[in-house]
Amino acid sequence: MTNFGLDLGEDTTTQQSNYPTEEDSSFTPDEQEAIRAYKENLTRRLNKNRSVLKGLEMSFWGISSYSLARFLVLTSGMDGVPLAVSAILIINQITNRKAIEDLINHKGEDNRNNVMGRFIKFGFSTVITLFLLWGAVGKFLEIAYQSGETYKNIQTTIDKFNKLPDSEQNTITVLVGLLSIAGVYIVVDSRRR
Amino acid sequence: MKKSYAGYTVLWLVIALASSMFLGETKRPYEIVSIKFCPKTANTYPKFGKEFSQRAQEKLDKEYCRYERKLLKEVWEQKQFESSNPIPEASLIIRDIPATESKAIWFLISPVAAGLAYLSWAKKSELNEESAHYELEGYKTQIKLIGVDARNERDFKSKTIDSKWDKFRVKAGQISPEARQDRLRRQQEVQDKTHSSALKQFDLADSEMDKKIAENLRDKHKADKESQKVLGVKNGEGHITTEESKNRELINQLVDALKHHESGWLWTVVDAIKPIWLVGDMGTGKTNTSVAIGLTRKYCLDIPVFRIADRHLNGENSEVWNLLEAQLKADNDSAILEAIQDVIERRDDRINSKVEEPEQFLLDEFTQLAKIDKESVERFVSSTFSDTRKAKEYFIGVTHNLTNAAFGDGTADMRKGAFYLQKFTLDNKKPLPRILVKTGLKDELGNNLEDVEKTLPTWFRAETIYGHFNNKPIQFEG
Repeated sequence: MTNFGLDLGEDTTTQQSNYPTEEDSSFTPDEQEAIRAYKENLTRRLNKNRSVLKGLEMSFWGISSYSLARFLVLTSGMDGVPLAVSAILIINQITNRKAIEDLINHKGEDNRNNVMGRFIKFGFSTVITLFLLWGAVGKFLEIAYQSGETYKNIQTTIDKFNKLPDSEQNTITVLVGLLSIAGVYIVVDSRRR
Repeated sequence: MKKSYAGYTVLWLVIALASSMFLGETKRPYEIVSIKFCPKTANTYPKFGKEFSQRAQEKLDKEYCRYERKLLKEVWEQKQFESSNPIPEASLIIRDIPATESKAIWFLISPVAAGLAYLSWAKKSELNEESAHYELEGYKTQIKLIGVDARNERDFKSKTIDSKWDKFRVKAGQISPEARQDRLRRQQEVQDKTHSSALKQFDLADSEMDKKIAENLRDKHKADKESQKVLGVKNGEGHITTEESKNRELINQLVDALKHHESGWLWTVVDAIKPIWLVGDMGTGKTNTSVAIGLTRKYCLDIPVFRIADRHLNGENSEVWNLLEAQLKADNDSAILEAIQDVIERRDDRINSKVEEPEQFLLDEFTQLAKIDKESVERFVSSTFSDTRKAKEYFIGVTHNLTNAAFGDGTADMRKGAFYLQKFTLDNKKPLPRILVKTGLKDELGNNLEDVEKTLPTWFRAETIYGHFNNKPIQFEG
């Protein structure tokens, strides 16, 4: 984006340009001050526009990744989950490509602060990505997990039903025991005679 | 019509957020299955009593069939398919609960809307950036206009008040009206002087530029000639080109003719670097002869004419002077005097810088100059006799007489070092071929000869010499 810089009275000789420099009309110091103030206001307004534009760009990527993920999950169910996650991660990579490149390729001491800034930005956007992921596919994954648990419960219930009740099993065990003891007693008593 | 891009941005952003957060969502987005496990009692009628059988079934229903379990249809089908021991569906009551109507398409609309919101704002930013420059320049114009207006108003009002108070002072007798007038007159004088000085500055700048142009032209001619020499050698492998060969032939013809005319005295005059003074009454053809000598030197000796000076440069002699194609011209007394002063400085410069390239200076109507600025003329005459050879300047002067009034006092001895050629006429209209070489020629032993009678060849006229080198070659006798 072009920088709106026509600063009056500032030394711009260090900036090399292909164009010849032309002197402006003469102005009194008061006029110059008024022009400078006017230009500062203009610059401030343009900078505000630029920052809003950056915010809208980030919103666009956020809304796009969330909506795409939700669409994939709603239309494809479990099959759409990997695609949805991939879409969000890819978009995250697009928005952070410069930060990622700087993190990978950083060299020397000079741009350490810059790299740290990029790292913070990358971390922050990753947290946002995780929120987006949870919002888009988290709920569905939770329902899917609970459905699996419910299936297990049904299976357990049926297995339990197919077994004899515990109280009946104990009665049979006691009866079998008593009958065994009675049988042993009859055998021992008949030999004594 | 100015479009409200900010409004479009807000609109599209609202659509994008509504689509992704609200419009795309439904109450039941997934297909669900509802499952009830309701086993049948084995104590069936008539094996057991009817009442007993009913009680047994009620007990089972109370135990198992009270609860309905819901799970994703997709998970149910997948589990049933993957399980090695799937749940028998005979004892289950399965109910499909379909998803509510899908509105997933809104999730595709929202990125588009968000993109349009971004583009709308980008357009707004672009327009603002474009208009910012115009806005700033417009503001500067306004500031300038208001500033000029205000300053003029202040000046006007202060001058009005000054004038008013001056009138009061006059009335009170503090200053006289004459003093006031005198002050105004002096102010006007200062203004006039400033104006005149400014004009002189421009004239000076013009003359400096003329001088520079002349020098550049001279350098160009010199470079051209050197180039031609080099190219001529290359083209002809040691031989000059046809054009140059032709010119060389013309030069040789003229030089031969001059050398063979009356023992070659005229060639001696032309070839020598000594100053030449042509003297004679009106109508003796002095100017024409001086130009003829100048042209001969130009073509045969390759000496460019740097400057000519004549009060009648643009008058009757203009056609003849134009033949010389001089780099600088002076055509009135003040310009000629300036030229004379410049020549003196130029000679010094050329001597100091040891210039090798010669040049010519022709000065006509010299007689009157001493009356205007005697001091400059004396300096010039003195310089002409002493410096021209060292400065490589071929000088030709034209005058009516050889008196001290024309040359200045104390130059009589010096004058012997120059050629004095006197010309004659009978009727002040047609010049005679007779010429009296008063000084300058020498005999074989080197003695100065005085008052030697000679004649000029009939073809030795400026137009004829010029024509010789411009497609009208002279037909020399013999």
